[in-house]
Amino acid sequence: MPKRRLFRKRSSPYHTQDHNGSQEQYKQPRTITLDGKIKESEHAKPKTIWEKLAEERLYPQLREMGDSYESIDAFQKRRVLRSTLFGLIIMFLAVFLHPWFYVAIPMVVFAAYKMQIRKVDAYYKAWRFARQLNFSKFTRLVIPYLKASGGNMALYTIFNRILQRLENDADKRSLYRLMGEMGDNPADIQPFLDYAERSSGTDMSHLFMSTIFDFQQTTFNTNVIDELGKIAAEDMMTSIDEIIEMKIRRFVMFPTKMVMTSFILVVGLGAGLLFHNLKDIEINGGGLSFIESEITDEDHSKEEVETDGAIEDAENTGDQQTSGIMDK
Amino acid sequence: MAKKINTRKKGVVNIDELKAYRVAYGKELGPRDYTTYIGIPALIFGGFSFLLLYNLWVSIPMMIFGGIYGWRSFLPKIVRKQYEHSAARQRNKFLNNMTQVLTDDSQTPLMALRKVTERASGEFEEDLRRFQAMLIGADNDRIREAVIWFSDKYDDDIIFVQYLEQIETIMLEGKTNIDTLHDIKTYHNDIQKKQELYERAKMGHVRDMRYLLIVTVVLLISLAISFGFNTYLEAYARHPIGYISSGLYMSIIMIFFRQFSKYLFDDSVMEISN
Repeated sequence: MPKRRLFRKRSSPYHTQDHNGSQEQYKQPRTITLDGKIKESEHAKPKTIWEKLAEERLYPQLREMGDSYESIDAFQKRRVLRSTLFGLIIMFLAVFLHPWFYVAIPMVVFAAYKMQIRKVDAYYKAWRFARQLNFSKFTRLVIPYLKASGGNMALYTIFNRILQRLENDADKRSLYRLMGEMGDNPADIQPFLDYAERSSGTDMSHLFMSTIFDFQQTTFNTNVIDELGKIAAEDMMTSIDEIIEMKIRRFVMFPTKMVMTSFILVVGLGAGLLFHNLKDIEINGGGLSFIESEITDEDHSKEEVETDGAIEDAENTGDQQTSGIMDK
Repeated sequence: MAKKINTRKKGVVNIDELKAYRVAYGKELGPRDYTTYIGIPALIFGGFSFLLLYNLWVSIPMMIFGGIYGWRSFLPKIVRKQYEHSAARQRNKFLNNMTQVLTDDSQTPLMALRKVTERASGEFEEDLRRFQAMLIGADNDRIREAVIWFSDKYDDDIIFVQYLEQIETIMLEGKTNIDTLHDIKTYHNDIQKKQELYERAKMGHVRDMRYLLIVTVVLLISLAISFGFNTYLEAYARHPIGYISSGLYMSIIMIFFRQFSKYLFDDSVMEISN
């Protein structure tokens, strides 16, 4: 897993080259259509074997978080190797301890492999949440200004004021870029959508930015914007619910785990008792066979003779063999 | 007051710092806290190992280990949790009061702050006083600085920071955003509610765990006496097999215990950390 801060600030194109310089090499031309969907043309890059192995969602998720194809490939390679290593360890156990461990090999490999995508999923969720939050922060800054002016203040002026209030340099640069592009091309929606893509990338952000654009162009009614702000907040609430649910779910397995662990004790005690009794049986068993042979001498004398004879025969042949060897 | 991030990063705090957290909202660490939070892990570790092996030479070190674990890890977390809880309550109260006062058009933000500060308590009250002092007679840059200082201090609570930004907007642009203030207040209340639900769900799992521990103790005792206590001692508790399986069991239980307390003290509903 490429080391990353969980709550990385929004990844703007200004610092996408955080992993290695070769990121731009695969940077696809992105076209953002009016309905806010991003079309990324994938024709240039053939799928590597690692990508084919990976789950469908893995590559898009990591790409969205700003990893280069190389680093994802490396991650995927590490992932496969790690789970193979676990498999090898179990294989050693199987060879040296008990053949039953062979059964466990595929299970362990599969579990080790799947464990890691769960980690990626959790990171992705947290990252999405952080971005959403970031954008909702921006909306909260914009909405009061828009309402205060009643549509009389130019968006450029509003953004300029917000610009002074932003703390994060990356955010500032991103907004500054939007302002620059707005100035160059006042009637174009593209800079707004680009900004939405840079700062959050959610459908919500596209919607909000295009609404702001329309607002500036035509209407002077803030109802829609209010509504959007509300939707953004509700989105956040939903993700909070998801996080809580996920965190609660972690507790569910504990009782099962505890009970399963108790089996170690039961098995241990069983083994202890077995050894303990085996010792008794050995001692008692020796005595018993002695007594038994005395009793059975009279009752089953015929059988005894037969078996004795067989044993004697065997002994004779054995003796002959040994003597033969001795002669040589 | 030490900066709070210290505890989180290192995971180890000294006792003075703990006391400072406790005192921040008017409660001191009493002997009862020590006995509960140090005693419980000591009892669990000591008791379990005793029930497994019936050997005081193992149980006493385990007990000491449990006590140290409770002291170094459990106690700071509990104290911190209570600190965060009281601080969050104070913030929530501040948001609600402030919004209510600001709804009155004749109140400036500074007047409202003064009113609300009197109702706050503990560390948060001091912070509010300082914030107020920073705002009096401040120009725009100073106002921004004050808000940034205040929001840095409570940057875990994102909604609260957003609220402060709105207060800043009021101070810079005049009262144009009362609706937004109301919205943010509502979200803060909602999140507070969700936090409480989360807490309650966690406590439910703690209760389950407590039952499970009792069941496990019953299991251990019944294992010990089911084949006769002497047989148990001879065959298991004084036998290498017993040492190995009990050691394995105890270490797995310890891992669970650690994991459980980690999940239990993970109070944030806004972020996922692994």
